[in-house]
Amino acid sequence: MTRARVLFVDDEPRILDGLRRSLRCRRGEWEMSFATSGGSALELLGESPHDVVVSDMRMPGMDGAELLTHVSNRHPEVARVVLSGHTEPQAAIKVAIAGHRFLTKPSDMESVVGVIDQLAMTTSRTHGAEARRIAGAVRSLPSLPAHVDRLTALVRAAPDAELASAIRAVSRDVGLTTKLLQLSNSAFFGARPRVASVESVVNALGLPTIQAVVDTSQMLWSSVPWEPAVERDLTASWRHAVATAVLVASMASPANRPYAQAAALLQDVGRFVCVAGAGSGPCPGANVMSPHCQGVPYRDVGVELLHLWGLPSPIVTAVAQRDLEHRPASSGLGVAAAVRAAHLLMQQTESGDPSDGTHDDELALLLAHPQLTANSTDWRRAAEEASAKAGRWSSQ
Amino acid sequence: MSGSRAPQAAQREVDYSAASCQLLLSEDDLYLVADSIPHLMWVAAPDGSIEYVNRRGTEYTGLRRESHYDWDWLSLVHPDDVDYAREGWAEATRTETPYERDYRLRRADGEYRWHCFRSLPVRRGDGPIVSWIGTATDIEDQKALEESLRRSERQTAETLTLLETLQSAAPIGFGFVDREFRVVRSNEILASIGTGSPAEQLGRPLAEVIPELWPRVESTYRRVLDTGEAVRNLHITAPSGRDPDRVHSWLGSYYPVRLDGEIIGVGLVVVDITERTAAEEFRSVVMENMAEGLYTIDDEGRLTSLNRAASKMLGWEESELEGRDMHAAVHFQRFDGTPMPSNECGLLKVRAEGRPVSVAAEAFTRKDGSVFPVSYSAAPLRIGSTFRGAVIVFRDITDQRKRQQRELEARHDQKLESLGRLSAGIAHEINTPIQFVGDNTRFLATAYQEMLELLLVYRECMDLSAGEIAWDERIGRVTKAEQKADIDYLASEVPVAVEQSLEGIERVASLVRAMKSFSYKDSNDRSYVDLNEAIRTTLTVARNEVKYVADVTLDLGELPEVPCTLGDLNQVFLNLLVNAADAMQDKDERGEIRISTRVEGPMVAISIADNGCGIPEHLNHLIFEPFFTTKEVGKGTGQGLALARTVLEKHGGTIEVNSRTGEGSEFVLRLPVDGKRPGSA
Repeated sequence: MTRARVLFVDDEPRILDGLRRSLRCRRGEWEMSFATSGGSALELLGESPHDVVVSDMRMPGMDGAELLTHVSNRHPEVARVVLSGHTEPQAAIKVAIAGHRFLTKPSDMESVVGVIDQLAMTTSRTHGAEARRIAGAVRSLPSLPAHVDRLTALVRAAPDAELASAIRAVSRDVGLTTKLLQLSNSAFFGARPRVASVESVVNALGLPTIQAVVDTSQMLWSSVPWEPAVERDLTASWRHAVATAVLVASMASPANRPYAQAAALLQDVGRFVCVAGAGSGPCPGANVMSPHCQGVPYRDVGVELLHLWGLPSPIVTAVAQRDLEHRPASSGLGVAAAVRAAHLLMQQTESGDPSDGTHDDELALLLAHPQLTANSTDWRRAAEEASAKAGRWSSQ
Repeated sequence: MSGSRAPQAAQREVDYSAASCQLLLSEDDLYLVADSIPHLMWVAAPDGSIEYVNRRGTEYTGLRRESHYDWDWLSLVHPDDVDYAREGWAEATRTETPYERDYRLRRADGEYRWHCFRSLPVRRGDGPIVSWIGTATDIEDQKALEESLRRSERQTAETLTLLETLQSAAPIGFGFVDREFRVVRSNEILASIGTGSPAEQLGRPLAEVIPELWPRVESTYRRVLDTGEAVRNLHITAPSGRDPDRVHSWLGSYYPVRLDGEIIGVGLVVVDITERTAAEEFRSVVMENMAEGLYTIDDEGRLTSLNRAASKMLGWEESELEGRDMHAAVHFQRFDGTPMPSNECGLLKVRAEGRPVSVAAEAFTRKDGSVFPVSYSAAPLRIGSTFRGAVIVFRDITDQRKRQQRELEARHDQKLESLGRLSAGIAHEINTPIQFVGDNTRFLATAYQEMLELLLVYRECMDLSAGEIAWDERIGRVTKAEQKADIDYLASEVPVAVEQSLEGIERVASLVRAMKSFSYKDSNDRSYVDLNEAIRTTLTVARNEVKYVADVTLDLGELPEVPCTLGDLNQVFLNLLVNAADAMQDKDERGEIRISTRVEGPMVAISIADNGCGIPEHLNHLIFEPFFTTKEVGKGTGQGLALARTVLEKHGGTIEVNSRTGEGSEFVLRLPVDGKRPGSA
């Protein structure tokens, strides 16, 4: 295996010296280079391919956010890590959009090494580099046009917005849910949430930060017009995701519920990225009917995105395994199997997608799982209710 | 007084009659004639003794004829006229000329009546006077007529004078116009409504005298003429002819003027009520529209009037409070609910001593029992020479208090804001060295481990008890161990790692020291301060705010220690420094901040200059205002410069700004070396 190529950028040479010395033990695994400014970092990236860039946030001249934005455009395959000693969460919003992972100074070596090692790997076995390139270009995901008004209202309402309405608005938006789960995975943006639920994340990050994130993401997308076919397709995909999330909440065990809900909501995030052109513009050849983007399955792109953004692994795994056949152990259903079960049931309720097969036998087996038969819930009925709920939300 | 008759004429008359008597009549006949004339008549000897009195004489006086000769005629004369009569007679006998005087003569019933006395000397030929013939004519009725005539003339004159005086002196316009509306009479005031003097207006039609007004009053004049009925108190508002810039108000009354039952014109009485109208309007503004509450009280503190604002603020109607003791009604308790005894009430002083008072913060109670803070001022109301009450103007200062509270909070916010911003920067300034000190220390730990392992290899090789080891073998082992440890790398890196770690630790330590010195808490008292040191400290603390955008050049002159409040000045330096850094934000290249200090006579001058965006000229006068800010929301509360000005003023110093858009700004602070405001003792 080739060594991972890692570039460190900091205007303070002492920091680079310290990193070089303390990470010398990784010289067997990594090839390290160092730059004291954004400009020289871009030069180095232009000269030779890299896998990961670790940058300071505040630097004279080109700052971290600017550098990482350039990197996302010019070198989308390079994973972007922020290592900064700045503590104001709001000032970090720009970098929150540009970066993949966020580390605070001081960070111990283990955290730095752990993040870089994770990012040095790609998730797609078959399309690693391509999936990374497509997903890596993404800085934020667009919101469905139908949601924009509610989100704009949320931002405008500052500072009088209600937490409950913020949670409602964000938790039904695929892009914002993904972004907030990404940010909540780091101490960088303040308190870390107890669980990976949107409610918990909103509470932990605080309304001003949420509003700033929403505002910044909105600004990135406000000028992008939607094609009617794309909007129809993504709205349908959103309804399915939301309905599945509602249904899976009652299927998953309490401990798994936040993960399962998030995974259900984000199950088609790859489709979102490719069809809406969230990366560097619409994927050539990507269209509503095709499950591929430049030969890369949407799912691989989505999983790579969730991996890059550092979402909790149960979520990433559940999204990755949604279309795989599950045979859960009777001891517990697990996040992935619960999401799979809810997805199949919802698919059936929505009168199915023939191209994907019916999976009747597998669904029957999943529904017979001890966890789902413990209380005598009529799951098909529950699925219909969840679908109706999602329908109501979409028309709100 | 009479005396208007000519004595010569009378003399001629008597000469003539005496001559005829002698010729035609006997002495008896003469007596008969004398008795028949309706005048008193007598004949007196040259010495004045009475020789004859006619019948009318005896009848009038009631004295008997026989006693003629004993008459002391002067006893019959009114005591007030006696001297005059005697003096006249004496004069006549001395000069031997006819005598004529008027005086009062007693009638038989005791009444005195005016008579005209005449006496003529009678001579024989050219000889001496042989007797005096006298007459007394009753002129009482004539006198009375004269008197009454004189009185009535006088009355007329008095009335006329009064009228003239009134016309010119009274603040009333009088006038009279004839049936053709020509001015017949007009006093100064009436004339002043129109153009020209009263004399110039005389005889001219009103349409010419008051061209502007005439269309508005013509119908009234005509009505008075047509109906014969007066029109009273017509209100007219217009600029006057004499004073065209000012609108006057008049109250006019129009009366028909009759002569022998026929209306000959219109009399006019006009009162200028401009002052009164203005006063009424003023009062109405005060009572109805003034924002401040106003009420008046009488000498016993009872309400006499209450304006609308006061009524609104207090919740009472004027009629409900009228005549009530205002202290007991609204002023009986303090803001905290404790009683406000009337003997502590400031209004007492106004009434007792007649001095105005002004009270910044007290409380009034509304009708519903709620209390609100007020500031009021009260002044005695003078009626004549005694104080008969007071007028009180008050204002609800709830909002003002809230505003003060907000300002206080804003000031606190500003400190917190800069502290918050600072703490984020300081955190970064600490986090950076901590990061590399940690990394270096981890490296040193590894390096130590590797060197220790190498050392052990050396020790092993040197250990004689391990038996004979070939020299080549020893060199081989050591070389291998050295390669493993990468001893060259360690040898070059370890000293640098140590050095950089110590440097990082010193960086944190100096920052902590600066923070301590900068700290707001312990430096609120005035002390002698090295301002250069304070600037350096502030710079250390604020390094993170500045270092990304600008280089700082220090040009600190030698300064005496200046008495000041260090904490406040640090805050000012910080605000100016942060502003200077913010001014660089939109610049492409790094900016420069230049801080210089020097002594200027009795002052220390501190200049903080940047080459940033500058301040647009039209904002120059606003920047020191509280809450004024051009920074985006969340970046500043607009309190920084306002605070700077307050602090400098508190120190007897000044702050000024020189700025050019696009070229930069310079703030110059000046502080008195001795800590005292220049010019103050």
